[in-house]
Amino acid sequence: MVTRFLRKLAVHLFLPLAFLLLGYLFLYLAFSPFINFGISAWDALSNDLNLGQAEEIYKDIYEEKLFIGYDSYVPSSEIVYPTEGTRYGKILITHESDIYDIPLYFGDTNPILRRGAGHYMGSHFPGEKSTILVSAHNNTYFNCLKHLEIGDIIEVRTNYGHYKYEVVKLRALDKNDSTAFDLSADYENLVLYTCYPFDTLGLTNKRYFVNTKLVSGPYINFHE
Amino acid sequence: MKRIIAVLLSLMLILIPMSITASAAAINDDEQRIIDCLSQKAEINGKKFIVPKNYVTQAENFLKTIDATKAQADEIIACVEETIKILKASKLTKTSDLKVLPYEDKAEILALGKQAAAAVGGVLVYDGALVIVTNAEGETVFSDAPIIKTTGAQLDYTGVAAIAAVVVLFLAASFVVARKKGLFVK
Repeated sequence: MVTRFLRKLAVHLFLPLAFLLLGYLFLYLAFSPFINFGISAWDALSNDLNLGQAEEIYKDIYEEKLFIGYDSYVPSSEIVYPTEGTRYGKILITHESDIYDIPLYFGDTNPILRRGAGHYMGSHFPGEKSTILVSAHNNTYFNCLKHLEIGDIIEVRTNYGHYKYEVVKLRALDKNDSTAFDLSADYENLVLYTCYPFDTLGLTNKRYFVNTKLVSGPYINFHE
Repeated sequence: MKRIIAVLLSLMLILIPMSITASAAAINDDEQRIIDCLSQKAEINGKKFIVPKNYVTQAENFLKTIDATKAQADEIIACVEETIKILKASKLTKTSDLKVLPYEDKAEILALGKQAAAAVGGVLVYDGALVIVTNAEGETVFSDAPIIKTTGAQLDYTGVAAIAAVVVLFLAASFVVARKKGLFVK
């Protein structure tokens, strides 16, 4: 009797459940590119329309008229450092006759990345002789990274100084690749990154990293 | 290790009044002592441990927006040293050992962090996944979220599951209807 019960259980419950789960797995594996495309397209559309997201108030401390104009160094006491979500500068990328003017915010949360480029809070500021790590979305603000070539100049204008960086590396790497950047570097370098490939909507573990070196801009003097 | 270090960092952050003032220098001497303390190599049970660079830099960037006093710096450094003592008293020899620290040790460290946060109006939140410290204005000043963010489309497992479920149900329903209509009968 027990055997009969178990057989019925297997036939009417376990086997259908097993086939259902296998079906789920098969369909996901077979159609994942299309499923991901659909989700990505909806995600991009909902981001553009700001569906279900309350408008947040962001501070803006970047004003070109307040640019101090130091050539070699700027006293740290004269700098108004941003807090999370504050726009404190802009990134200018020039390609042929196009100029891409990208707002630069401190912090890189999802709401911030919807508004512009996000400066990772665990990295340094321009002028501090270390690594500045900045990200933005591949289908919006950092789509222009695909036009960059070795030797191109990227300008970063902050509320305390103007900086220029020269592109030295362009690489598509896994997001966990430890060679992409070094937050402990003792030389100034700006690193921009975004999801890769650029124009393909979908899930990706790859990032496009743009590594640069400082060309000009005042260093920050923390003793003043 | 990340969780413990994050708590240590939060202790440092939250014991400083959350005020933005014009300072003589962005990082004064007392704040530099805090940064030096966080940057040190702590020897615990014969092994050297360090706070991740991105954690120290978050602390540094926050210190640039305030002006800590000597007393505050002394208190924060004392809290860091106290936490190191707790870790030294444990059997910690590698970072993965943090996961198996006694519950009492973890609770004590977390309680220290929250107590200090409440005393100066800051808030430390640990939801089991992330440690986040916010200032009095609710702005995040520290987070141990992954460094590299999703800067393209984001994966929504809920959506994937929902779409897959609809497709499977549709196929199942089609099969049932086809059988009832005898489409599989030769």
